[in-house]
Amino acid sequence: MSYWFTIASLTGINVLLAYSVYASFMSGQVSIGQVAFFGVGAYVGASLTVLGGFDLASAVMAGGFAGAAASLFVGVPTLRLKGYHFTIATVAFAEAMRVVLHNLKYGRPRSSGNVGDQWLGPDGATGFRHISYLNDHSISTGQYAVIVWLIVAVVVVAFFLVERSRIARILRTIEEDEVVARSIGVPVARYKVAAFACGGFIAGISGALYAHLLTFISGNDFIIHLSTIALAYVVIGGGQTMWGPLIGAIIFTVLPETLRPIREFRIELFGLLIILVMLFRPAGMISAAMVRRWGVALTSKAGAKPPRKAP
Amino acid sequence: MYFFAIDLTQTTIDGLLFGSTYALVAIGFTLIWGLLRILNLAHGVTVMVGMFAGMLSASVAGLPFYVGIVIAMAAGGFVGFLIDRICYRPLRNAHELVPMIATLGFWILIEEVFIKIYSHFWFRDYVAFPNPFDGMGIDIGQIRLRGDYIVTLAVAALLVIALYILIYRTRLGLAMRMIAEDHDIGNLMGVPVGKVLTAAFLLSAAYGGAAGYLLGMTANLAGPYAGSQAVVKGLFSMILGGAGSIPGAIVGGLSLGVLELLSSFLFSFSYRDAIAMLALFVVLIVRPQGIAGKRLPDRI
Repeated sequence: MSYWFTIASLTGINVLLAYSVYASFMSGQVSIGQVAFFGVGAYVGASLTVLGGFDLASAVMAGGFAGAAASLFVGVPTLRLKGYHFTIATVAFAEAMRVVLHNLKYGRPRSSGNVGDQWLGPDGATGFRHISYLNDHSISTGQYAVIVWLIVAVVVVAFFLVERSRIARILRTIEEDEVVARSIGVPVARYKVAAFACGGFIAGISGALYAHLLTFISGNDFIIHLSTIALAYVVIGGGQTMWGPLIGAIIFTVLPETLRPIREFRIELFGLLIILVMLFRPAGMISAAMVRRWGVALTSKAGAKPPRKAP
Repeated sequence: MYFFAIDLTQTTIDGLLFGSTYALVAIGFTLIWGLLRILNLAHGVTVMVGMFAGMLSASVAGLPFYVGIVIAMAAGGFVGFLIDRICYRPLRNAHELVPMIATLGFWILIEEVFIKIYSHFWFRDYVAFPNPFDGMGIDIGQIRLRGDYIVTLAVAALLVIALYILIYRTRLGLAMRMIAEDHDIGNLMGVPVGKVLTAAFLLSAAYGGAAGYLLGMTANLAGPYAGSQAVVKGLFSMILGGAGSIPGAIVGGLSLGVLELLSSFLFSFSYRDAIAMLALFVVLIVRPQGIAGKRLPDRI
């Protein structure tokens, strides 16, 4: 059972990662560097509980703020530019960050422990071990899964509300055409940076949760592969509405794990599924038209008339 | 101080020579980016397949170097054909992110299958790649030019010249330049866009295959993860020089080679990649179109 709780937590973490991509995706900015903020969040969060003695909640929040700060560092200079330069800068930053994390060493010696394992805190290429907050405070994997999914629920509700607000319309206008958005008085760069910083915040939270779940992290956990997969969750699930990242991340984390008989081939299966979904549903599994149709079906069942299209 | 200057020159020259492999990988990226505005994430697969085709041709079949390169390019080209047919052609009308994610799927799928096959035959992380130029070299004063690096540069230069002839002296090249400007107008002018793009995928992948051979030969090793490493290096070379431009890919590849070796010589080996990437990040902020890129995109 604890295996499934771990999978549940991991799924929640991946959902958060998908939403962190989605935040700037809404304004048409594609980031392949979320893994950098994820990694920063993981290291900051873990450092606070292990070395600073903070509690989990403040460590996770701090991880989020660290992720947001890192994303501002990337976003402010690059988001003023149009198009793909931003994407490419995120890749460069993420790769630089991975190497920095891979070489970090700070902390203090451990009182106990075997030879060669007497360091508390990140220890260069050996990684950051003994993130034992959950064990020390006897939080079971089940309880942790609940914590993770509570945070996911908050984020999902936040996106649900944003999607129905003026902010989402502005972001979608920027996605559609930046010049038009500018011409109707939208401070384009400010919106793009804010959206990206929110994404960085969510990625940081997700990273801090990840570090405490795995109890061991190292710089090489945070390779570009992970950011491309986070982007894949969004594109596969569907980038037109907020349901896409949720569905994409859940299906693509749970499905490969549940198919136990072909477990050995789950990475191949993941790759194959990506290709198949893209071939047969290029708009993603959940498209905007689909959500609208379902929305109409639900409301008409409740007795309301389907909304008439304006002539 | 004298020896430091010698070492510095030596490192720079090695970086330039070795950077030519990065340039070849970057050319493969930049061709597809310039024509289609998609990042072909499966490009590393062509590098890996080229490397193994070359390794098998050299160590198992015992074929000479120049035949091996041709085989590696053919094997890489075949992968490029598959990428075109599976990831691009069925999706050409979709949003440009869609083919890119499809190439990500292709990359993950093929790499995993390949690793399974690899570990079935070999039980090590790497296999030896015979290097016929091992130990050879030319000495100029205190500076030594490694034989395999010279061959690498020569092959890369030959391939670049061939590419230029293809692009600026043939009808196919004319069609490619047309498509790079505008797909629809190309279509209206009677350019068979689909066929030209297939040719572009083949070409880009063949260059990836050649780069795979040269990377394996200079390292004396072939490993299943070489493709992923090449993706990162090639992508950054392309960006550093200027995405979509062939001179940019060359400049970017050579500068990345120099930058990596210099930073590991001057600072530390473990921060080598970080320094190279931070340099790239700075270039992107100061000169977003890359070192040799053409124009600045509109600022908003």
